[in-house]
Amino acid sequence: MDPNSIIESIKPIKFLIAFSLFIAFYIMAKLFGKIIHDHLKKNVPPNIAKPLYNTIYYTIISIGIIVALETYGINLSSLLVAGGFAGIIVGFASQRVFSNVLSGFFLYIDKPFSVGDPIEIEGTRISGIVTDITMLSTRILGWDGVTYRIPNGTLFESNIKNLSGLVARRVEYLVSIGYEDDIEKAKNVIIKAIEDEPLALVDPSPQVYVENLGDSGVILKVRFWAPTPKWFEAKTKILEKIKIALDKAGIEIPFPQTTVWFRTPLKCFQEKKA
Amino acid sequence: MVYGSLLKKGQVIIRDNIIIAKAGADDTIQYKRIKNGNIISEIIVKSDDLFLIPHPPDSLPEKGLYKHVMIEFDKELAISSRFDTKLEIRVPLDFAIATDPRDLTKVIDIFSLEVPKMAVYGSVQDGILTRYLSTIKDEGGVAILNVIIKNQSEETAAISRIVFASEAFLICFRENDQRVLGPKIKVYIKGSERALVEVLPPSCPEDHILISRNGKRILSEPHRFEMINGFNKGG
Repeated sequence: MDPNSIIESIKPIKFLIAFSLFIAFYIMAKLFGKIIHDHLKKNVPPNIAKPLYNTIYYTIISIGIIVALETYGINLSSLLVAGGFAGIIVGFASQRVFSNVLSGFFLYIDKPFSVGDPIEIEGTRISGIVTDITMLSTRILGWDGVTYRIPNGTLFESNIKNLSGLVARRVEYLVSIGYEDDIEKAKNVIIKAIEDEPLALVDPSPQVYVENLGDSGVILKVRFWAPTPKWFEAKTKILEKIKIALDKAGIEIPFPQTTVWFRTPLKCFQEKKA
Repeated sequence: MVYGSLLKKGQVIIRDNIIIAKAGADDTIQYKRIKNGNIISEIIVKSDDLFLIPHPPDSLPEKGLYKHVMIEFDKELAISSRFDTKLEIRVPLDFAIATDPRDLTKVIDIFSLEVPKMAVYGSVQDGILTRYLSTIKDEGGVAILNVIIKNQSEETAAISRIVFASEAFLICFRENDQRVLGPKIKVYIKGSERALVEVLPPSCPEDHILISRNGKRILSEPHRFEMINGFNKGG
């Protein structure tokens, strides 16, 4: 019998075996995927569970394809070399992507915030409500109404202030008064302005004290607490009320002034116009 | 100042609030509240009458900001171990204009004579936000609350404040009068930092109107709140 004809007769059998192997891997991917999916669904948030499931599922399918092709007789070594090169290129290119994925995973473990939490990222001007956390990035709806997408890698390395856990937040101002003004009177006027505002809490109580003796005036530190959801409203409202109250009480809010001193008497000349 | 129908009076002045109610066409009433010359609230409602009623202190400065009330005594009370103390306290109330004097869901305007204040009970990290009330000696615009404090601990306890759920703050009043009865409060001091506060609806005489929160019958089951952050001011 001609050897070529034997090979020709074997080929369909090889194809059947290869195909069967692929189907076996496919079924395995489906079954294993379902078990993994059910497990992840219960224990891991959806933003991590889905990509993890996809990775496992497609890895099994890829192995199935490679095994099936090898069984059929297709040499994959050249394909693997090419794949290796491509892998290196993709690896370099996806370094940051992978870093973000990993950071997303660590953020999940660390849990510095959840969807719905108001947060502030230190060193940036970004502050708002977390609307979505995906594998790669986190979306924040800023107080200015703009949605910010921040890569998880950046977020993981940043100092994050989570404001959701607090019942109340402290508001702080620096208010300057003139050196000739009565400090005690100014403190009482400021306290009264705070007490007249419902959003300023009674307990913890407001505080006003001399923070510094500045170049232009005595600097008072004003501190009071407001309910977290009303913090910004209280902050903006009360500063205005303090200014009005100080004006009414005749207490000056000084501005920077410089006294210029001349070593020798200053001589002024006036030209007569013809 | 007395509670009751506004149409009969036409205009009511409560400290710096001028309240005006005028009957309009098609069973409507024009309502207006003016404070310091500014119109604070203005509404036209379809109703037979409007009523000035006392309102539990649970909605100002904004509804939903807090779910608890903190009452601070003007003086700290010291109670010996295994002793009971009974006292009657007066706390300031808010006022409401409603189309039905028995139902808080029919309120169209709420206001307060003093600046409504809030305080944190516990720490700012894990405490609770409360409506802050301090006991006063006034007769009008207040609710009278009967408080029983039972010191069940083995040591003398000093108590300066009580915290409980604001929804348990039920009141009843008599029309054309200024008398308002608030809930009955029982405080069981369990230890130096722990007390159980039990709040029961007021015992209203027959001529009093008990104000419901949802138009439904009021059950006399007590509300309980556990004060685990202490009951002294610094707790």
